[in-house]
Amino acid sequence: MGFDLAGYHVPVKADVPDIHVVLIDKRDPIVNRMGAKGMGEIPLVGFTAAIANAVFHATGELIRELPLTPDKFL
Amino acid sequence: MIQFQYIRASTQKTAIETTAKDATAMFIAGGTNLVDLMKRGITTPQKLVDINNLPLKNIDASTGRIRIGALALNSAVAENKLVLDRQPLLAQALNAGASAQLRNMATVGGNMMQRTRCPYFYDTAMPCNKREPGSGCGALEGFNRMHAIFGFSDKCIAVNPSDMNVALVALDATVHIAGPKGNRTVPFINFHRLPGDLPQKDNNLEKGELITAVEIADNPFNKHVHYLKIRDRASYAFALVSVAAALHLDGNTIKGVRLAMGGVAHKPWRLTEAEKALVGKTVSEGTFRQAAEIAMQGAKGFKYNSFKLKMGPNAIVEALKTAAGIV
Ligand SMILES: Cc1cc2nc3c(=O)[nH]c(=O)nc-3n(C[C@H](O)[C@H](O)[C@H](O)COP(=O)(O)OP(=O)(O)OC[C@H]3O[C@@H](n4cnc5c(N)ncnc54)[C@H](O)[C@@H]3O)c2cc1C
Repeated sequence: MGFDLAGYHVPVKADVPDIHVVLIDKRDPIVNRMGAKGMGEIPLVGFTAAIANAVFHATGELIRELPLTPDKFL
Repeated sequence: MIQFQYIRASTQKTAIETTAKDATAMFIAGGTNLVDLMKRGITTPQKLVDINNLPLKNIDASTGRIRIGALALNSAVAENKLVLDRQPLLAQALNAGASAQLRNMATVGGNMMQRTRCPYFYDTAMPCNKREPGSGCGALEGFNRMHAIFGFSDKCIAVNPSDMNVALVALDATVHIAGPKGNRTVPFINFHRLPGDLPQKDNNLEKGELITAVEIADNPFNKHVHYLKIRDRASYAFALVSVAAALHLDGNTIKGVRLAMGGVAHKPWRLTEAEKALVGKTVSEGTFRQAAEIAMQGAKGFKYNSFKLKMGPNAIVEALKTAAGIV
């Protein structure tokens, strides 16, 4: 149940580790005229599984449903 | 939109008189809770009595106690030297709550009075005995992940959401109240109430009564303290479970202890029996685990919050370990 972003938790600064920005210095002339690549959805596929696996490594619990809230580990 | 009148009270007397004689009048301090509730149509005062001009902001110490005015800001209390030196548990609990912006607006009196975050209380399309007495409790059979495991009734299983209250109940604070019939004081532990048959009443404050201050008598709990808040994200979230732990140690011997939990009941939950079990014992994880088991006696979970039956004792052990400085 929720009505707004106060109840729907997205990570806040305190949750997020250091982020390293890697610039890929290579034009892609095929996708668009700017030569830029879109990276919106591609990273989404792997990272939830990676986090779930990291949490599995830390806790011994493999949770297959998001979000990975504390209640699921008890 | 609801229409309401706004009055800025210049004296305590007029603030109390105005609010006492008008059934639809309410005090407003920082407004961080009340304005939200008004926007959602949960609370519908027709007169707001702004108390921010009253001289109730001071934090001072005299004759073995700290006195914190009801209008002292949460951030001002958490940063206050007297509080940090003598009652660091209170500062920790305050800093665990809300966000810096909110703490800069929120007052001590308003924090004590903040309403539950139960989603059924917030959703005016849902039944809620606290918002609309007699309409039923949506949480009882509903989505009750955040709800109580102690002291609930079949009318209401909501919890008190405040972090500050957990520290204040642990520290045996006293509430100073001024009202139409005069002044009185209430031990903090008796300020909030259990839901029983009247879940619409969060506390024992009478109509028109104004919280003027909170007092904490000096105690030996200024060194080994810890406020542990377990929540869904690292900041800006209400507690699933929280623990306020304070130890008075003589070497490794526990001379005194104060223990309370948040997120588990309709009021900040003092763990008196667990405290008794700890006094005189030696600091160790095993001792803390035993006390945590005692603390959880009588707890009962619902469909989605049974995890608190495990999280609760684990949090108690962790908080005590951190307070004692053992890892
Ligand atoms: C997004 C968000 C996140 C939050 N997260 C947390 C959290 O993690 N932990 C936490 O503890 N709190 C949290 N809070 C709640 C916050 O602590 C409260 O909103 C705040 O403490 C209320 O204080 P206020 O002065 O703004 O009260 P107001 O909104 O002005 O008043 C609240 C109630 O108190 C009454 N009142 C105020 N002063 C007095 C007085 N002196 N005497 C009698 N009655 C009085 C008012 O009439 C009203 O009913 C959060 C709030 C928000 C909006």
